[in-house]
Amino acid sequence: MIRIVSFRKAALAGAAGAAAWEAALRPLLLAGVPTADIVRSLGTLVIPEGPAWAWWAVGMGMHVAVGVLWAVFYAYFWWSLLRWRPLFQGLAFAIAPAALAILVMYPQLGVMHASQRVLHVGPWTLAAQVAWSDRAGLLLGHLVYGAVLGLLYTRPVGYPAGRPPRLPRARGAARSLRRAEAREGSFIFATGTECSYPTVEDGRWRRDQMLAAGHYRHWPRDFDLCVEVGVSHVRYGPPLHLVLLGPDRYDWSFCDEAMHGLRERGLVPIVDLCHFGLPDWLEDFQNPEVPAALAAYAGAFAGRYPWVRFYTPVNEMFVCAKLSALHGVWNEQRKDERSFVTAVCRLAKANRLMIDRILLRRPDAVFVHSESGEFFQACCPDENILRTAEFENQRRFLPLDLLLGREVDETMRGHLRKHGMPDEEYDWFMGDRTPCRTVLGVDYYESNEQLIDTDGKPQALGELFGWYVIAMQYWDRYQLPMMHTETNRMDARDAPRWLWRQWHNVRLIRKAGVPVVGFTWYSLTDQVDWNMALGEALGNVDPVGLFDLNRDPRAVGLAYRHLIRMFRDDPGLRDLPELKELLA
Amino acid sequence: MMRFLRAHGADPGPTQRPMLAGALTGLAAALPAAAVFVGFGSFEVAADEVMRLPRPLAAALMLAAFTLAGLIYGRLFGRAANDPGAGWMLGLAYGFLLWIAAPMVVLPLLRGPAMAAGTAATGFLAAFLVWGLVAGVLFRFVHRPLHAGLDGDGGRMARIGPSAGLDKLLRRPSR
Repeated sequence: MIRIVSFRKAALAGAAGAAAWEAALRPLLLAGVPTADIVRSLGTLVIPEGPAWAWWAVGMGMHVAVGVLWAVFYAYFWWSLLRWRPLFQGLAFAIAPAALAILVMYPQLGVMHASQRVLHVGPWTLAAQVAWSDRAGLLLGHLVYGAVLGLLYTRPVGYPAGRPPRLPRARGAARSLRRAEAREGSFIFATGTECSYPTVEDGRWRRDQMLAAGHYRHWPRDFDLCVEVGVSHVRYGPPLHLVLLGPDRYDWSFCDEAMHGLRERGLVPIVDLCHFGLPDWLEDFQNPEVPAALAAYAGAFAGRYPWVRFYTPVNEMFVCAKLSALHGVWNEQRKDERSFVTAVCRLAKANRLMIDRILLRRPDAVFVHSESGEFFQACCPDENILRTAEFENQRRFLPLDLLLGREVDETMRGHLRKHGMPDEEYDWFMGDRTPCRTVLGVDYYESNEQLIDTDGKPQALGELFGWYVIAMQYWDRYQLPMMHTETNRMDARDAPRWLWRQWHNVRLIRKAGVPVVGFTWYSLTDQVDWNMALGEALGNVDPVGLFDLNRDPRAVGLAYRHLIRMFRDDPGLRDLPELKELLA
Repeated sequence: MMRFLRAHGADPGPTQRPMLAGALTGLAAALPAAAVFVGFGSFEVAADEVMRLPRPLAAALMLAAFTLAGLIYGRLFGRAANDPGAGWMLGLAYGFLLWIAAPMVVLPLLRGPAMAAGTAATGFLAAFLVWGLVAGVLFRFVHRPLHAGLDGDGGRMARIGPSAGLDKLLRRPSR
């Protein structure tokens, strides 16, 4: 699958486009303008001698059917290739079927109407015989069609934020259930189901990765695939926006089935309770009610699934705050420092309160705080640029500093004060409450290292220093057991190479004495619109998964399985004292 | 379009056999297409007056051409051809392109400017569309049993094993 297509929208847009063509051209034809009458040409193929209404009805049916087919083709191959407004995308697309109609289809319709069995004439001669008035009519009709198609076919993925769809019935479980071989105290080999659910378009449109990737329908198969690959743990994020319906109102129906599915397969979930989005009633991360509401949810979750031990209360707080409140992509879509500081505070506070609530239910819970491992390199010795890079290198730690109660430096403290964080709130965070069972997850992608360019703007640098160097900076700062909690590669053919290189980073850093307890290829299946941070509902499939969206393995799926088999019995990874200590 | 397909991961990877699946699918889809050819009277026109070959030879050539077209279909679309939602559309579009290419470009170039007309011409178009549609729908069902599973790695180690971590540009041939 290369693109998620909304067949219903495409069919409606194509049919409307064909109808608009007819509505635009028929009055001209009735007025005697000599131009191509495509509906008549099609209809009289089937009813050559019938009354006008008969050939019109049949011709129109065929015209609409062709319009629908072209619309599906548009949706699959053309939509969003050009970053133009939808109207212009549709108009540009219409040129291709118009050219085909003028050069091939319309002359061939003439041939099909001929009374002979064979014509001794070449196709190009036929095309040259089409009158200019017919060509003009065909071009006009196609442009009308393209304009309507372009205007109507938008946002093929996601749904209006206030109107979640009814979830599809699950299917696709293996006939005989296989169980994962999770061994307590062994190095954690993990994958995850991508579960982001932010809103875009000022909170009106919900992105739902689990829906786009087909997880609600295929979750039994997805869990079977986890077992087949050989992972012991799954980073799994139940859809908060569909479960938490209001204060103390929950819909556990999907969650119950999926959590049971994980459990019966012996897969250990690392439950991700908040992943880049909130339920509609909580609005966004500027809302001061968010921490308490999420804490209540965490408590309810831990009470309902007391067998769950691993939690990521809030996933990638830094990325969530940055894209919601600094870059204006998700949720509140703000672009100012004050909103960013507010979002960071809400997220860190929510995380803290969620931990407290979970510990009430499960005192031995393990918290895997997955955070994006970032680094900013100054391009040149300019003082402003050096200062920007230094500031960004401090800012990347901010949510973790607040969560884990680590003092920030004076520059950052001043920044927090200036942008609305009172001293009392800061002091609350600095209270020493880090639970003893904490793992620091450091995610790493090719875009995580950035160069501050001569304009002071961050630009993606690619893999320069690598996970080892960046994770070591996090280790130096927090001195907590660590895990490589996310990585993948956009180029599917290069993904096995990336996997092995990440793995070598993990092995080397362990050798250097850093207690890394797990590794994750993220995610199990391909994702949708991941390469542009879900900012627009385009439906492009990014081939980053161990499996594609048909659930067929990618090369990296085989490579990961091979890697796990090669290393899971390695004496250095079979019994990790640091992990046993966490689980004791 | 091929760049787009590649960018979105249509590369079939080491477990799939899209060309074999495509060839088999192309052959299977030729049967309903042949029925349409014959039903519209297109086959006799094609054999006798356009190709000007004995009918058994013309039929064999058509089957071979459809098989080859299926193989190329599998190679072109790769992993994307397995898509249950879009397979029919990919096949239909491919069948339409073949219709443009085969009777309208290839045959006139090979055998001179003669083309089927009337009902026979309609049959040509219908047969190619039916072939494409059936091939597009059938492909994934034919392909699935041909997939190699996750087990066993045969000759795939270079693509998935530790040596996959090497930089291809710097790799030296072993002596």
